[in-house]
This record gives sequence, C-alpha cells and structure tokens, in this order.
Amino acid sequence: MYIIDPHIHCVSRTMDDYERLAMSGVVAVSEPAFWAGYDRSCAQSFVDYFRQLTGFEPGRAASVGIQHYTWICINAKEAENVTLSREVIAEMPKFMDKPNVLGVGEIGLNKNTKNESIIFMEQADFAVKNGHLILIHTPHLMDKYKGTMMILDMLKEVGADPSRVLIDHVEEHTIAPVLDRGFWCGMTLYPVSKMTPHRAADMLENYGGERTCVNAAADWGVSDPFNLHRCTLDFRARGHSEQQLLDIFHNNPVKFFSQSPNFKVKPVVLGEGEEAKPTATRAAEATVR
Amino acid sequence: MLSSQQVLDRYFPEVRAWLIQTAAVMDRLDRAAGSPHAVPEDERLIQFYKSLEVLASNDHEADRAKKIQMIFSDQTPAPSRD
Repeated sequence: MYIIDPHIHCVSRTMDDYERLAMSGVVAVSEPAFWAGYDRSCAQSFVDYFRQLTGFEPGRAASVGIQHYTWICINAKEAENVTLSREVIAEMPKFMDKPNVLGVGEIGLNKNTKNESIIFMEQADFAVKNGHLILIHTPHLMDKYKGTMMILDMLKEVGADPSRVLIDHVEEHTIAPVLDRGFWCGMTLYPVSKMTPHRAADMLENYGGERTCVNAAADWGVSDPFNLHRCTLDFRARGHSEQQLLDIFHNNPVKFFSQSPNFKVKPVVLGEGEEAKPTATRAAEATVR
Repeated sequence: MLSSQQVLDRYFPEVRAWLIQTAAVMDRLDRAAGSPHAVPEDERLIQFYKSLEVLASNDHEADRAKKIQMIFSDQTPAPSRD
C-alpha cells in the first residue's frame, strides 16, 4: 500500500513518527503552516518557521525516504491580529519559490470573525493573483458550518478556481456544499471529538471519493498520524479494491498537488491481478528516489 | 459494499459502547451537584436532547449524522467585513 498524508504538522512530531510512517507505506507528506499552540510575538518568528518548513523538515523526511512538501501562510487563529498578519504576508513571497512549497495554506477561519475574514481575503487574493494552489482550514465544532459557507462565498468573491483549492476538515454537513461547487475536499481524522475513520469511510462511500483526500492532521495536540491507516483498514474491510484504496489515499493527493510543478510523486496504477508492493519494497524504492 | 448483516456484525460492539458511554454521562449529570435540572436553558443540553430524538428516529432516509451536525452548528449570519 502506498499512502500520502496530505495534511500533517511534522514540526510537532518526532523522528519515530517519520520512521513508522515510512515503514507503513507513507511515501510523501504535505505540511501546511499552522498555529504553534501559542501566539507568536512578531513576523520574524514566522520567517523562522517558514525556514524550518522549507529547509529543515524536508531533510528529516528524506532521511527515511519520505518526500516532504509544505504550504506557507499565516494561520486562521493568529489572523485575528491584522497588523501582524500583514507583516507576515509581506514575507511570504520570499518562500513561495522554494522547491517543496505547493501553495498558500492552511488559510481559513477559526471563530468566523471580521478580522479573520479580512486576512483570509487578502491571502486568497495573493494566491489567486500569483497562481498558487490554496489549502483551507475550516473551523471546528459549532463554527464549522457557518465558517465553511463564509469561506465558499469569499472564494467566489476573490475569483478562485475551485479545481485549485482544497477545503479541509469537511464533515457530514459541509462536504456536499464544497464538492457541489467544484472544490476539492479533505477529511481529517482525529482521535477524539471530531471525524473518525469509520465516518470518513461512510462519506467516501456516500460521495464517491472524487476530489476527496483523507488526512490525520497530526500535530502537537492529541492526534495520531496512523488514524489515516485505520481508515484504509476499514475501507478495505468493506470490500473496496486495492486500486480504490490507492486512488483515494495516494492518487487523489497526487492529482491535486500535481497542479504545482514542485510536486514529483506519480499516480500508482496496479496491473490486472497485481497487488500493491510490500511496504519494505516500497520503502527501499522511496529511499532510492 | 457490506450487507446490512455484515454492517451490524462489524459495528455493533462500538455502537453499544458509545450508547453506554452516553448513558453514563447522563447518569453523571443527574448525580452532580447542580444537576441538569438546575441549568435547563443551557444550549448544549437542548442540543443533546434534540440529538437523541434524531438517533431514536426509525426513518431510513433520516441522514442522522448530518442532522445532528446541524443541531450542533451555529447558524447565525456572517459578520460584515466593513
């Protein structure tokens, strides 16, 4: 089995996680810029964070044969500070041409406020005008539905091409409006409180899996990168083929990310009667790549 | 796609566990000082009981997960950016 985790915060994880991900079939990861768990005091803190995402993390991942890609932005939570946000946005162009950068993300909303909306619009506009892909964070719990609808309206206002935008953390009540408008969606699997691997498998069956990616968004909080693998187990147990698993957990991220010239992983298509290669074989090949 | 019998066999143990967990939380609320009757207007409790009604529905077209998601969602208008 080949897997791409399209949303993981590797800066918060240890080398043990990287190694176990490699041993369990993960060939590439994509890491959006996000909230560190505390508010940074100045724009220079973000510059250092962007250096970590574009310089240090790719090396850690490569040491176990995983390709590391990333996204640059100021996150939804710290976007409440408009002055700081604009200082960070001014620094972003210096990083957009780095070889592992896929686009602008994860921008979005946290509490659906006026300030968050202003900064969302400015970053979305920056992405659209410069031809960057966009990765979007939608709010959690009671704020998700309203925030998702606000984001869809703002993306229309800024003229974003839906095929170049992935809207993440969809759940049962937000997946249809996202897919109906032509956007990509992401489902995020959390150990507690939000989406579970079984519910994600339900939504894959209900909506067909087109333009849909699945991730674990593992970070510094209670999270588990292997929730993604639990979803593959449940999806397989429901009778779906190896190729269907590959299409959702590997080829869909490839299809979306390949709109950036920086993304190098190719789709995997099994021949008739062929099984996905054992993990050890894949890991060895990844290391060679 | 699994048959309905296979779905029941595969997921019944965890559904049983979740329902007992929910019942235990309700019991805990009843035992607590300032029981739920002391906070009858708490929006979360109202949402909780509305959700139980959806769960108990025998409508096969119910789309229960989506309905419960909407019960727990803020549906007030978006703020102005002006």
